[in-house]
Amino acid sequence: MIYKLRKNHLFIWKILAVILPLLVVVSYLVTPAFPIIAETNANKKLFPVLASVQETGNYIINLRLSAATAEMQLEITRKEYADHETVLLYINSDVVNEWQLIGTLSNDSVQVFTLSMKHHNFPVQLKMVNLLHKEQEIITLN
Amino acid sequence: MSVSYVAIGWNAHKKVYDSILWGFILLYITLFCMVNLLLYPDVTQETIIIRSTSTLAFLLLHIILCIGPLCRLNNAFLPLLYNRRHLGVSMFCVASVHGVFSIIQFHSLGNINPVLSVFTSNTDYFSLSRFPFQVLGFFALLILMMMAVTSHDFWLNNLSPRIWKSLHMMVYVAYALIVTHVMLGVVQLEHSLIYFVLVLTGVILISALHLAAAYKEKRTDAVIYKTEEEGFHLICSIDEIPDDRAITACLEKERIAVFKYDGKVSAVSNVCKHQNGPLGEGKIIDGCITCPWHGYQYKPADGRAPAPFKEKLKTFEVRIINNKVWLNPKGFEEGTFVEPALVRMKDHA
Repeated sequence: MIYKLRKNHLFIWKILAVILPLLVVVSYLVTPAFPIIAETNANKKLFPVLASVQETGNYIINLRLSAATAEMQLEITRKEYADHETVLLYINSDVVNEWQLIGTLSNDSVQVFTLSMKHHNFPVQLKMVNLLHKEQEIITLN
Repeated sequence: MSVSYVAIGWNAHKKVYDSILWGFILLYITLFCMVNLLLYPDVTQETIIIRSTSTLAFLLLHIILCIGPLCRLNNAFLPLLYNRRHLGVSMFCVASVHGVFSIIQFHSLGNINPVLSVFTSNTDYFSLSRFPFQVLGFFALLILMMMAVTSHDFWLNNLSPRIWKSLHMMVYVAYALIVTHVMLGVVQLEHSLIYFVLVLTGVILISALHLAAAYKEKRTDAVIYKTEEEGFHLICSIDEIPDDRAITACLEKERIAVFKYDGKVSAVSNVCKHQNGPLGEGKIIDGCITCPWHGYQYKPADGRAPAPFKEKLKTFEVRIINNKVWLNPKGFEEGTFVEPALVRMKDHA
């Protein structure tokens, strides 16, 4: 390397050596507090307690609770296949009082989302945003 | 060295190197797929491809970024540097598979252009926890593509080594983008402390190696050759230069390599015309200074590459007085013949 490149090199790494670790730590610290495990098929073992059933448009939404762990499940069944339809699913509860994206409803007939009860408590509101038809619907689960 | 452009300058070393490299790539992907299928039997093929290529490309990028500073800290790593471009292009190929499959998986089923969807499907650009991390990966892949495309010697010669080198230092921007892409993407989604620790370790390792190498170079540049007579600076005693090797002195912000060979001493610019490699860390092979990075050669007395090659280096005047090597930092035009200083028996201690 020539002198100027060596100097630039040192300057760049003095900055990166501070910024990059800081960025990694900050990114980790601001990780959203609600862990979401989205299953893309119905093979996930369903929780035994069926707490609520709601039917809306093309979907049936079952809210299930675990007897052993502080978790709940959203079991969402699509009644009819809808090609090219993308639906975003958001959740809101009195614990985290803002809409949080929890996933996209795919063309699978059944999808299960597992949520921690530590971060969501009743009543739970779901918002389904249909990008194809540019519609949204809010459902309250008690 | 080659007198004409060839797509890939294969030789025995590069064939062995690339065989090991692609063997490792295939082994990694195979093992990754097997472990994933065992741990997550429901995982789709697309997801396995996206995950395996992302982790592999990230690992390869770390290896690539370690090679430069390791070579500056220890010459034993130089064979890795010789083939770094092949490693870089291979890493880009792996990263491209990750990028293309991700766009297909996450952005091709909507009613807008998949590439446009990368930028518009999530517009939380002011949120750290919901930032559209795929955009960062997209720009990093563009930089890696530009580097892979211009990695050939054709571009090196046409852009000039200085511009080419500056262009390829964009890899640090790509690295910063990829680290952020990984942190705001998989680490936040997976909530995994292990991923966080691995990424942080990688970042600290790369930063520490680059800083250590840069400070070593800075110390070399900071040596002051105070003793001066008639424009000549006292560099060292003749015995300090090993046979067929050089010592490097930094005078007036320019590094000069002083070579001892065949009972003579000559000095040329330390900067190789090919990729600015450190000629002073090379040796004399077949009567020519040979760059330790890619084997470019120059005659020590006039700094010219042997015919039919046309590269030329600046040359410098050297004197040997009472066992001491004196160097004039006012260089001559590139390719100017300078009579080598002769080492007499009494010059040796």
